[in-house]
Amino acid sequence: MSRGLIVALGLEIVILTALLTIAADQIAHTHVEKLGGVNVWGYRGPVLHQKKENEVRIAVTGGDLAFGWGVAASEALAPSVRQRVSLRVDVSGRPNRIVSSVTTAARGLSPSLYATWIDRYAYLRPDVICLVADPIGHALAGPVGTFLPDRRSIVFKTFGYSPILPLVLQEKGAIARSALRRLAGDALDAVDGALGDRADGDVVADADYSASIAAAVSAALRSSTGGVVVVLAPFNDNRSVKARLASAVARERVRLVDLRDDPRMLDPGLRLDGFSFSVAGHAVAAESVAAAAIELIERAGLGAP
Amino acid sequence: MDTDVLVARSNRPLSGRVGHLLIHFTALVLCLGAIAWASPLPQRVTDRDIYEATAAHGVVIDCSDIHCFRVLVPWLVAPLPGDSLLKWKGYAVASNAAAGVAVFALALTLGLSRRAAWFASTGSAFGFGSLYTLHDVYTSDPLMYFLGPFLTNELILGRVALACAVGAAGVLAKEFAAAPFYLVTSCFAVERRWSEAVRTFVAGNAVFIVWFVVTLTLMLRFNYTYAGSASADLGGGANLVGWLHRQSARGVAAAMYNEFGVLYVLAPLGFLLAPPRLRRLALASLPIAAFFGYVQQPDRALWNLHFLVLPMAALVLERAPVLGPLTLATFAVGNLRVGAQLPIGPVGKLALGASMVLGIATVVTALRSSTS
Repeated sequence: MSRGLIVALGLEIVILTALLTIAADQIAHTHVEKLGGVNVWGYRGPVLHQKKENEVRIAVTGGDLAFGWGVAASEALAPSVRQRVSLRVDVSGRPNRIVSSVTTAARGLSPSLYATWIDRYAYLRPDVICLVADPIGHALAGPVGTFLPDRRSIVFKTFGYSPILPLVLQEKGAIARSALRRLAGDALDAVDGALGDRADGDVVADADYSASIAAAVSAALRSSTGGVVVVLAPFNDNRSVKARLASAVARERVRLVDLRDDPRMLDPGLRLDGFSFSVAGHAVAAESVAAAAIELIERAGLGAP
Repeated sequence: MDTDVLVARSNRPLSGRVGHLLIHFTALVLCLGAIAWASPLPQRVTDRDIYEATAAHGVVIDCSDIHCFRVLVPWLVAPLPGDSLLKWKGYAVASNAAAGVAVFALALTLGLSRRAAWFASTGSAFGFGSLYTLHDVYTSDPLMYFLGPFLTNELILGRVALACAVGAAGVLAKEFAAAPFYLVTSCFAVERRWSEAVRTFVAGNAVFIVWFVVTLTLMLRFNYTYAGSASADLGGGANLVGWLHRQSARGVAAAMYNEFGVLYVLAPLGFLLAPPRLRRLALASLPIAAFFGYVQQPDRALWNLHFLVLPMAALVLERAPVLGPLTLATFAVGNLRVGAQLPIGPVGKLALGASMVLGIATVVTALRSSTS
């Protein structure tokens, strides 16, 4: 056997290993994207189809609260808002309107990164962006510290592809007590994350909070046709935050929803871990958010004509 | 490469060989063209819409049909002038005629006589799979029927680079284009010709990598998925289980019988009479046949390996000077009904039955001639 053949064979083994890893990662995505994970492009639920002409698209973005840890992608805030908007917009007897939704929030995302995150997913062409800001003092990504999508990933940074196989192998390994799987997951994670860095902070800080939200609102206005719904979490007294955001939200295409205004949102029974909303929590929050979204959709003439 | 094959080939001038092949090809094109012209349009849902959409748009964004991944034929057919159906019928006719010529060449390479090679070639051109694709033309299958014998022949003759280039293009039409590489690799490995085996294996991997990269690109860049295809559900029975569920036992038996017909009777004896390499190839093809029979509809998938079945059958046919041609003729006429779906019901049934009776008589004659 010639030296050239051996080199070619070795090269093919490397390429095939890489391709098989990508294929395995894609399969892993299909298993977790509808549950607690993200799809290959780093947002929740299956990859969205191309936007249709008669489609109204709502994006829910932000950090942990918007991500909806603990509930399936179809049970988070975005689909709840979509359902309510759809009932209003897609009415019988009028031309067909498709309402779709997407959760582009990320676990552990600091408010200072909301604006760049909104820009990242501008290609999804949302009509209304609901910006659900994590409250001041919130510990990002909780005690587990899992960042979803993994923003340390060099693959994610370079190509926008969000690898999930390392996390799936690590978690499966932990559940099945399989050292081999855990090791494989750790190895993949180490290879992919070796060159990355974790830019996010640990806790949502008061400093620059309103500036970060204002920057995110501007980014969302650039990316959406209908406008932006800024949603404040019900955990803190938001009066001072609202005062500081007054100029940022005092625009025609911006609506502010303070979930604390709805007394039901203070019910601890609507939360899973003291912070993240349960399915019922998302459904209750969606009532207020959907009302604001419908206003923007109708104002922009995107509703049923 | 076998020395005797080299010597045999070098004794004939190249221009003469090419001329013969061209005449052979033209004759098959004329016959198959007439059949394609007479074949009615399918009265059921076919993959026409998918292939026409790929031809029109290049890529069909968000497509979840396996046929969307098979881009080569629509890309090649699209720029041609004329009506869509005419273009696709032309493609099917040309590919099946080329398949007939390729089977002829492969049979000679495998050491069969010219008479046997003619039988194999004719059986290929007028077999069920070929004629069915003249009826339902919107498919990549005809190209695979050509590439199977062509690539196998080129690899056996040591023209690995050419085979690799053609295979890398062909795999964009259908995944089967990679199969001949692993088939020949297995054959060489059994023969302990390690250097050739590794070279063919490397070429096969290169073809497979091309398919893999294109598939992943279509999935990631254009949101293609296999979600709408049972073929990708390898753990859930793929297409085989669904196909078996949809069919009655009689339907399954009829479909499988129609696929090879009298070849089921002829090929086993042909296997015993076959040169060692053809036997090795036939054995090496079994896992490939099992895989494609599982992921696709077996009644159509197995015809991809017709280029090994027909040379074996031809070895039996040539041993019966009168019955052999008659068997082949009735086989072809029967396939005009079950394959090309020509409205010749009673004649087709009669021909199918006759081909089986004649096939059995041919086997008996061949056995007698072998023992004598």
